[in-house]
Amino acid sequence: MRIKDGFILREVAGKVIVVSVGEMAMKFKGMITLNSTAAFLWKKAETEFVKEDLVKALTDEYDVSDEDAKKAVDDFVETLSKQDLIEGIK
Amino acid sequence: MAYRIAGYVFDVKARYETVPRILESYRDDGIPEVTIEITQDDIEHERDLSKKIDPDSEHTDRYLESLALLRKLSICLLSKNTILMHGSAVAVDGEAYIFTAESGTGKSTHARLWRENLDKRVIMVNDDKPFLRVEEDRIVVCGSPWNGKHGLGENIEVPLRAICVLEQAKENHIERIDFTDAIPVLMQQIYIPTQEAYTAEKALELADRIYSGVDLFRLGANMEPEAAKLSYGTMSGR
Repeated sequence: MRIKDGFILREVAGKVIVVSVGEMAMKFKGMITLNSTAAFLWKKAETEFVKEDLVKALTDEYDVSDEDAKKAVDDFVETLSKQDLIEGIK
Repeated sequence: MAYRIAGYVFDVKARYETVPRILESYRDDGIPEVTIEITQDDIEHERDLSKKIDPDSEHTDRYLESLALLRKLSICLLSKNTILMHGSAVAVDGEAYIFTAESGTGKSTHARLWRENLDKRVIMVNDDKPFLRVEEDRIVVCGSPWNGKHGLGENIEVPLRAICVLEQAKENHIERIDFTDAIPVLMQQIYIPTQEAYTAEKALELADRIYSGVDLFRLGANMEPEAAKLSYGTMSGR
């Protein structure tokens, strides 16, 4: 799975903001603000991934337990799926 | 014949005489960098967008043409580090203050309170849609012909002192805030053209430069003269 095309991510005054562009802007209105963990996961999830990839990336990058990383990834994927922002969900 | 807005010289090929009329005070002798052409398709596109916001809205082609020009000009201006903001911009002692909020909150009303109640000369830079030019070490608020339903604004440029998020309140109060305290309103009241990725990127870059540097306030205001005295006093530090 991966995050659908049509989003750009940029830091604005210390916060990471995501906006939809092109055709996606017609479907997905509004703006997403990400905390630093979510921004990290978002960048990894822009290309094809399975959940385990994200968990590994998190535990490699941050001082976090497997269990907490797994929960963070589950939450992240679930939030994005609910908004229909992920394609090829497994 | 050309026009200059926010330092950008351009010409327009419009279908109706409304556009040259509203641009009258922005005429310029310079050589236009570009000719902005408005087509019937552009006008229909504006009609579609207006209907999405309010299905019952009925606008003349003339009016929609001026909106189409604003949209195209705003996109051209991004390449000059200049972005459109929705707000009422006033100037005192050569410094500009912008009140921003959703339509109907009372931005224009508060700007009027400044004009009527401060012991200072208050100049309306633009009562609705000023342009902000981001320079190396300052941000400059620029007048535009899209100056709200009372037509308040001038063809002037004034350095920005502060941006103030306005809310209605029974008792007046004002606080200094961080960008994170008001992200939705601050991001919604600047124009981010999302049709193309590169224009959206550029708009976000400018938003970053504006909101990283400028003093931000949140004002809860009623319609009494004291509201103006409080907001001016706090933001100007005088």
